[in-house]
Amino acid sequence: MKKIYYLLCGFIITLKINAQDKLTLSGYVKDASNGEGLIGVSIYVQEAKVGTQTNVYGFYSITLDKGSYTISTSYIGYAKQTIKIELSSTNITRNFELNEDSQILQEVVVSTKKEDDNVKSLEMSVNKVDIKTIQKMPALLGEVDIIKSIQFLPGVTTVGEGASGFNVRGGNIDQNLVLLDEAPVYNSSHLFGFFSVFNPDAVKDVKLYKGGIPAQYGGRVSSILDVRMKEGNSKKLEVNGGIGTIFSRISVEAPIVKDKGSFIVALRRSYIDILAKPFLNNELRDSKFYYYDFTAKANYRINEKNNIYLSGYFGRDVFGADFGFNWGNATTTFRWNHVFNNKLFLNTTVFYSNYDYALGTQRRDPNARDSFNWQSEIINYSVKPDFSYYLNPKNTITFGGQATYYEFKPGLATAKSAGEVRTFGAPSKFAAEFAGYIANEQKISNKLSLQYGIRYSYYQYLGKADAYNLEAPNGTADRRKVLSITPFGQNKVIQDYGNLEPRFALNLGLGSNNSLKFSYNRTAQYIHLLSNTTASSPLDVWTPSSNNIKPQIADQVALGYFYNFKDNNYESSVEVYYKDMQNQIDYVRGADLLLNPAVEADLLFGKGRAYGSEFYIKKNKGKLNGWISYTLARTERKIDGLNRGEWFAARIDKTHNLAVVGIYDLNKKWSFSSNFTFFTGTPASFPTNKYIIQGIAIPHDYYDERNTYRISNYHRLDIAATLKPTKKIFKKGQGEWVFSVYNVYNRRNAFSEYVRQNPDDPSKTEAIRYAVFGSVIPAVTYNFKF
Amino acid sequence: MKNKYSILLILFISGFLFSCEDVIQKEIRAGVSQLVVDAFINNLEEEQKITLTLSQPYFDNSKPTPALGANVIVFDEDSVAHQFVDLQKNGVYVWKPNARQKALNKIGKRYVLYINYDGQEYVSLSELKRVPKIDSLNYFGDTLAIRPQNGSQFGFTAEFFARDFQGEGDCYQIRAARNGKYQKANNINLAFDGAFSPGSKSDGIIFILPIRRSINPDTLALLQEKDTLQVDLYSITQETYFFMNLVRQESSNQGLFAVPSVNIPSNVVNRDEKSTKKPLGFFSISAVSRIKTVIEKSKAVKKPNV
Repeated sequence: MKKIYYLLCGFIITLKINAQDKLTLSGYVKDASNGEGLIGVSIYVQEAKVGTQTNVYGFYSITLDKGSYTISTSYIGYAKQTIKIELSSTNITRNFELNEDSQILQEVVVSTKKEDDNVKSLEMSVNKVDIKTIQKMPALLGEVDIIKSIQFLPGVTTVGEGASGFNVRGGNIDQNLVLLDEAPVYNSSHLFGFFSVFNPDAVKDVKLYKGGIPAQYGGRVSSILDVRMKEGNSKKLEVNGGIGTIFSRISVEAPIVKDKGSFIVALRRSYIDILAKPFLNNELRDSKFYYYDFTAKANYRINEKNNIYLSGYFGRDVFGADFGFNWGNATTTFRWNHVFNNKLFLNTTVFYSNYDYALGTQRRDPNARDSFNWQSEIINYSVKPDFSYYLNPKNTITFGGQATYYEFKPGLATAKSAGEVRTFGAPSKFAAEFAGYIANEQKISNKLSLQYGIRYSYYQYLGKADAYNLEAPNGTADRRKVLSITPFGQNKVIQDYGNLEPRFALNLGLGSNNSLKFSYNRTAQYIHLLSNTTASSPLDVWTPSSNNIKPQIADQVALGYFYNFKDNNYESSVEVYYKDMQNQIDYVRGADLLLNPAVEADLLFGKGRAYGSEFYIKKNKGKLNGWISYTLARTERKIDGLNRGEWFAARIDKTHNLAVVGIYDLNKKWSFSSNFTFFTGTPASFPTNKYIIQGIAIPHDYYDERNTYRISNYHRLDIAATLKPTKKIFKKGQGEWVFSVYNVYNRRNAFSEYVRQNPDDPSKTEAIRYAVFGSVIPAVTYNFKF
Repeated sequence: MKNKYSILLILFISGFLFSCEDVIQKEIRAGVSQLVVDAFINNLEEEQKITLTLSQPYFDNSKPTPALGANVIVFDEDSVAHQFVDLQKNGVYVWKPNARQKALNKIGKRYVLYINYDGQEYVSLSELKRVPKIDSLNYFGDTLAIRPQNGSQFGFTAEFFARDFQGEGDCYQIRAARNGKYQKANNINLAFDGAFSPGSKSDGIIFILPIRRSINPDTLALLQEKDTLQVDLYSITQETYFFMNLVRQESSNQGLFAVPSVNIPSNVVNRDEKSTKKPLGFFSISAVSRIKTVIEKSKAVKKPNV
């Protein structure tokens, strides 16, 4: 902690030595129709030939010499605004309200950002997909899905359709920091992984950092998925809703005080259970199967200098009859934007996030002879100040910190057997994580800009907990012996770790429309998801780094060439990356990861590496737009005790990965879209031999190797059509029909291939291809807005 | 209870998620054949069998090749030798309790398996653990949530009652036979201190409900009037528990939540550590508690609350 303190002190001193002969122009940029802050709007000063961009709250600041200037805004899909400004004696605050450009169809916008951002910005390995594009893409069962949509981007994959989460550049799913208004979401899936937890009606902006991760982010080693919620219409009441195949949803937005504050509430719920109810007999009448999520946000502008935001998410999946299972996330975020002066912007975030599940007998009859209840939870509280200091047009300094307290409840169960009650499982664990960072974005010349920063993270594994002293790793895949257990009292530090995480990015302009970019970053991760299944299950438990589990550390370098052509209508990029991962986790044979207090004895450790190249071309404007992405990649693990200690392909490895997304707007009534995806089959293991014990065929791999085979290649085409009838519903507002077909040519794509005993004779054996979706899946959705 | 839960899952997975399974042909590498020891013996006054075969290519569904001409002896801790003999020359080596040698029933004592085959000596060690008495076997009238294709939606669900011994680490396997026919071999029901797994702090408990009811038909069916039901409770060592647990895992390791497949370690070793001929399989000795009943409607108990 001391290091962070000195770092910050040193920085504040440097802030004081600033020249005062310059003046600053600053303010917010908002959407004129609904008052939403606009992220990434370009503000350009013609006379000085310098510019800046609005931050995630729509705030901008630019410092100039005294004089008169012509300032223009530029943002795809919005009309340009140009104003004259006289900077003579005082700093000026100027807010902009941009109107959507009626000249172009709003719907064709693929990306809402500065037109030549792809080439000019320092960002590389970053993808942004506009929510309007996501809403246009064909979706499984017509349910618009952010997590599924980003899997069409280069470098992003999944272990198989229907699996929870996503994998970025060869990283495991727990290596992605999924942020909803800055609060981490621990499980981003409904129904085991078929749908994501984000309600598209409440989402404003989605940004994925696969590399070149800025210093303000930390805590996960592979990626940051930054999801920002809408603030709500501050001009007028707006209602959006829809009835889909799975969910029905509604959202309401309205001003609290016009132009000063607004809110949005959005609710989604699956309704198959309501439709099914009349068909269930007595035995199944009490069965439950539904999932829902509730998203809400409010913002209020106290004055020119202070804005506050309060946002929350609550979602739940509920399944079961006599025996039930439910899980879900909850997050609450409070944020305060404070403008100290025209140059210094502060956002302070305080959040609470939780993921929990419960399993057990449903009727809580206290007289029941037998019962079983099991609960697991992860809770964290965090405070996170982030400062932006717009020193001058050439330097923007960001600095800040974060403190997080974690409570892990891996799982406690209460079982009653014939009237006798026992409680067992793994007791709570506690941890604290602190971080401080400082970074500068510097324009060295018109051609060269740099971003350099450092983050220091410090972690403590805290009591009250038992520390397990295990025998040394023995190079086998067998459980280690617990040699002794040392109890630690409350808040006693059992183990601590600290990591310096350098971050660096460079943009070298090669011409007006192309550039070369390079980035390096080190990231550290102190909490880990223990999951040994192909697809992560809702039962998987997060566990803290400890005396036995070291933090995961990744170093990544990436080099890219970025090129825009046809007046920024097309943007393209080629990137190559190499990622080295330390302290990766794997599992002993027969690992017992649930309700096991000595779970650390069931873990194996090793390292990982991932490398590849990503090709991306995107068309931004016009009736036909979309993108093509291709990734050639490899990800491997080397785990002490597995595959005879040699490198093996990770379960998520895919050599080739191609995605094509096309959207065609025929006219104001009809638009069409289509996705095509192809990727190499994931690795699999097959036994060489079998033997029969007690009538059961047991597989045996004589060579004891992992993932030496591949399952068959995957490819799929989806299409969708959107119809906007001219006739209005409820006499105002508008409605639209979305017709979609998933897996158009009915391919039974393999999720996995495995061997099994013949169901009729367990001494006979066969190989099976398992497809999660073995048919064409059509769907119809109706959306409305008024 | 278990049935209803699985019905819901079936409902979701078949009707709703459109999943499907196809049998495919897969080219795999050839391995090397190894000696397989299938030696699960018990303390009953019955013929005891130890089967020796050779492992075969995974997709070869012919009968395994027997390992013939082996010398198979089980010693107890007092060095009493029990010679197992391959009477039918089919790799099944048998020994039957007789007037001179009684059943293998030295509870709490260790037993050694010795095999001499093809010039190699193999040994293994197991222990005859204590087994509790089964106190009762009850059944109650029950209804299936959905009507099965064959048979009745109505019938009986049975449960047995037994109590785990005091002292942590007692392991058991439960097998049930309906009308003389045992449950499917890969329907493996295990208990650790009366519950599912180690760490359950379930020492000394009455076996938990899912284990008590694991004795019912393994397909979607209920017991019917006049059915005979036999329940065998086997004591096993912790080593056997972990072995059978892995066998169970490898027997149903599929779908979204499959875990990476692993080789299951054997407790039989080649006496020559340097030899490349490593055996597969397992040696285990059990004490058995047994209870039998014939289902009669008049003797059914009231369905308990859960």
